[in-house]
Amino acid sequence: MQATINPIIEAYSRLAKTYDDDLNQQSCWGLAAEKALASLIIKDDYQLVLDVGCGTGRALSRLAGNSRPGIEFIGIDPAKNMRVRAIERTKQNRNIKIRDGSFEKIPLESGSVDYMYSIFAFHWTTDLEASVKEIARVLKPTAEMDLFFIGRNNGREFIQRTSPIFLKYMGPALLLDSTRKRKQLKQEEAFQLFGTALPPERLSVEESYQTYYDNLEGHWGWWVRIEGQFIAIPADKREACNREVRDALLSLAGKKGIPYTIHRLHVILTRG
Amino acid sequence: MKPQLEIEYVDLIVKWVRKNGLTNGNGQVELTGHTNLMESGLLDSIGFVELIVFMESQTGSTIDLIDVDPSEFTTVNGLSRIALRNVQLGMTYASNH
Repeated sequence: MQATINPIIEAYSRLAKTYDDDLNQQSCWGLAAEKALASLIIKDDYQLVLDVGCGTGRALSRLAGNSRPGIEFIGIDPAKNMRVRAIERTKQNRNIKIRDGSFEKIPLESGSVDYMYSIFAFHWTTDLEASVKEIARVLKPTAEMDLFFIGRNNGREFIQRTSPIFLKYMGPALLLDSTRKRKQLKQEEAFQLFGTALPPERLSVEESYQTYYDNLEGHWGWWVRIEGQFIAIPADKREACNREVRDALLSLAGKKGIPYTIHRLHVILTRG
Repeated sequence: MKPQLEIEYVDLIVKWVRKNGLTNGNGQVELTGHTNLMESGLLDSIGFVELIVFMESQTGSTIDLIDVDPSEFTTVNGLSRIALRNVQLGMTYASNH
């Protein structure tokens, strides 16, 4: 049986070589990821730390470098070329291992993880309920967790301005199919979802909004990563679609640049 | 004249959009059966996903959007016709099997 290809994972894998470029690191997503990473604390009594959607291993490398030697770090990512880069980046640190995996399928034993974190990956899961069950399965009863992902109102400026264009090129069915690939939850929906498998009394969900301004090339640099969603647009129409999308984004420009508001959800599990 | 069910669907959609639609800070956006929900900014693509889920739960029928014309998809009247067609198709299928 042929495995189903996930276009999002394919796009991330194909673009792995430019993931650490300055253009991406200085983009709204690079800055937002850096902010999330800076807030993470690795406690000395952790034995196993898990990064889900570890990408090129940037966070793993930083956290392991600043933590007690002996803590085991595992990073999982479904995009092959991301893992290749993560392995290369972390090869000097024997405490870090990189594996194939995702929220839906975590290649670890039940009850083995002391601390799990993930920075802007959970919204790409294909199955919310199965992913939360899988997270709960691998966590120890006393485990802690910080998950950052986008919320319902993320990127509203871009979505509102570009939805009519994508509707024109994709039609209603494909547009809604591609939209469903991003799981954009409201704060209360996220709490309810995670509360189905994790103890609600130890769980909280924080939300924040931050608007980042950039020029068109800065935004386009990360926009191409989500092109996996738009693979359904016929190749001969893609260039014309891109041109219209670029014009639409340019029309948002003000004095500070083109705005993009990140609606961030932060799911926190504490020891209580 | 519109069938009674289609009128009910128009009412359901209007009420849902009034409650869940975006106004872009423009206050009350006029909403009629002919309003283009996407170009007016009332619904983005995520909003349409949520509205379709709502309509499916209300009508008890899956709404098939393949081959639907984008201009029909984006108006209240058009969406109610699409929902009605899917309900009627489901009833025809059920009576034949």
